[in-house]
Amino acid sequence: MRLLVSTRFNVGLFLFFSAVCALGSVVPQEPDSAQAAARFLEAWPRLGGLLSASGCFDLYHSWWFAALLGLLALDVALCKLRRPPPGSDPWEGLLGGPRAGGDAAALDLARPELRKKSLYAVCDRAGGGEGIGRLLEGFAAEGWRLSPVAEAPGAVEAGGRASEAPSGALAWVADRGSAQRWGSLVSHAAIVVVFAAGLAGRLLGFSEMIEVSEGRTAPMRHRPWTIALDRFTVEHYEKDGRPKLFASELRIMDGPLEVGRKRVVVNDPLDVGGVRFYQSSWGVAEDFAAVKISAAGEERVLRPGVEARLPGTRASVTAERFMPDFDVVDGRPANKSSEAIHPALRVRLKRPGKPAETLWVLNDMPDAALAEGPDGSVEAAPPPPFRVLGVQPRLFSGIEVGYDPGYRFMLAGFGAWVAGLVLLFGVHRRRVWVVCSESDGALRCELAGWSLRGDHAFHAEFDRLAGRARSALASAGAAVEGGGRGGA
Amino acid sequence: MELTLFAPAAVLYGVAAALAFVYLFSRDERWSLWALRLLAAGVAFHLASFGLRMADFWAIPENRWFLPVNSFYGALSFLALSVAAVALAVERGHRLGILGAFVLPWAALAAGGALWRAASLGSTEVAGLVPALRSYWMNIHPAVLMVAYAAFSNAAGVGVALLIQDGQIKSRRPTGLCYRLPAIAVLDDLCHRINAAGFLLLTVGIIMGGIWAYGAWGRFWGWDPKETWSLITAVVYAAYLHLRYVKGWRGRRAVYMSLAGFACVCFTFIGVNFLSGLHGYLSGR
Repeated sequence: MRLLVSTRFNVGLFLFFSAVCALGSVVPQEPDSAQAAARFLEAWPRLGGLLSASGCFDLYHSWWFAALLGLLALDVALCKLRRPPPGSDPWEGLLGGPRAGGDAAALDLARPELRKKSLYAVCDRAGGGEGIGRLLEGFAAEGWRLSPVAEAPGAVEAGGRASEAPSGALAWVADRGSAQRWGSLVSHAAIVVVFAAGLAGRLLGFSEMIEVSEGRTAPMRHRPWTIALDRFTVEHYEKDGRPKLFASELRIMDGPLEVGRKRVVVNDPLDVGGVRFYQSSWGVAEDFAAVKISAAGEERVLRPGVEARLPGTRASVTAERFMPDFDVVDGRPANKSSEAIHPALRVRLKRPGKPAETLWVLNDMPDAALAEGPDGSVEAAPPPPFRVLGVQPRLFSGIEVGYDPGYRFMLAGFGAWVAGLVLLFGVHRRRVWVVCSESDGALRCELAGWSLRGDHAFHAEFDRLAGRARSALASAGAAVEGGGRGGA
Repeated sequence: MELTLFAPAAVLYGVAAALAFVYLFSRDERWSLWALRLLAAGVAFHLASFGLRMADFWAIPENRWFLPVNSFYGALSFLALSVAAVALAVERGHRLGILGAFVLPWAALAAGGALWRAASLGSTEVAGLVPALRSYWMNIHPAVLMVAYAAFSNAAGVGVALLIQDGQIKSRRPTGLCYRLPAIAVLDDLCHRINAAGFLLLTVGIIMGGIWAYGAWGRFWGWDPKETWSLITAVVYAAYLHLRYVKGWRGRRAVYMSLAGFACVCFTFIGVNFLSGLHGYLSGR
């Protein structure tokens, strides 16, 4: 436990976590870079084997990376549980650690420490303690929260109670920017909330990618709903051909009941009871709406699965299947991508006196064809008695469907995180101790300052406060002595 | 036309950095004054060129009301402007004069990089925004991160000044430079404060990116290399802040940690472009 909350361990854990993340950014990650991972394994078989065995090709989803994230979250929580925000110890910044003997004894301990501070000033006044009230009013007027060091029985001065030390001194502590001390706790607690919200989303939520062609429906796995894509629009910039817009007109059906409808574009999802439908991707489906062919100088339009007579012959043809990026893998037809790079059409050709043939006709190679056998294998065949003039493929829309019950907690965590950091870095916490004592009819007030940002950051303000304190005492009577390091 | 205004801005940043460097070894205040004047003139030219870029960018209807930082040139130009503006703000707040020599080279480097990019492509990369970038986050998320990077570059410059001053003080024969540079405590406090501001902005920028990603793709985090390296940068700066706040690290040791963070910033901005598809300015995706 002591190890887990030590700063050395924490910083070591941070740096180890950073190194692991960096490793994941340079080693190809599956499934997105599966081919790159395979090439890596081929190029460096020993190193690749080691990385593969340790799950580094899918590092961010490996069990040990999840455990590392869990350790980080646990560590953050433990640190804040073990080190609560600084309490109301009036001597924080001056005396360290637990002390015995009560506030009066602490004041006696503190007085020599005050004099060691680089922000230190002394104001003296002859004729008693009437000036203390004015000195304290000066602090209050500048927005300082002034409090007596303790509720000790003893002197009541200038409307404020102060502790009375054995030495007869009275002490106050003036604080400014105290809210800063909550910044660390709030920001660290927020990190734990963010981790928990992420975990809730992972365990209780779901995510699925659904590809649906225009005019078709597709079922969801995690809800008894179907997604209907009524219309899909894609537009490109004329200048460079980059996508300008892609939009899906979606209907979400729960049986016969429509539960949601929207034209979904990137950055503007459809929300149905917390289940969100995002426009994620698009491509050319293995599906087509129509094919235009020509034979004997005449053109015909083929519809999917509808047999048509070839002009000028007694043969008939049926368009059955479409692949946008045709290839032959292990002797069988295969589609390589969802882009129309090598479009190909499978047709069933019936000629009188011949058995029916299944042919693959390639759009970019009109004088060639491949015959598909009953076992699915293909071999070269003579060209068919027609030419494919064009295929009107169907586009599919990639809809990312997600449900994340931790979403609102995540947003709350983010908000608290930022608020905590603003408190932590934006608020300047500083403190001034004021210790006054009387001897031989003369009043002596000692001021010492402390700032979380260091003495340099508080120097000018402390000097001004010390100057005001001297003026306050002087205005109540004749100041006999002034000075000190802070006021020099 | 945009480059006609941007090239002088880049040159002015370079000359201002050179004058600030001369001021390091001179007792003549005029060098510092002229460095500041040239920096201000550079920022004015830069703002004018950025205005023209906005006009070109907004000529594409889909780009209207968005910041033109979706290309490497645009991002470098915006970064140079941010570094120069943060340097002016720090100088205005602290009137140290001497820091220009350590901070302005970053602005000159970023502007020079943008010029090199424009020259190598023959254009200033004004193109239509792809659908994922057409979001109001486009105006906030990159801008906040650029200002964070600018803050870190300023802190790195201050850190280098601290290392030099520390070396001077510890050496048996301190040169005149020792008397020109601010005290170690001043530099240390300034470095820490700029880094803390940068860390806050970096965290806010990363969170904004997460919220944007959730609105666009339904996930807060995807372990894209840019996201990953932004997180690494934040974690390294978090380590720096913890060491400073809890372990009381000051001076040289703290600066080394801060410079390690800045190395991560550089990799996040430049190096990751060769790894990231989602955020890759140079991948063409």
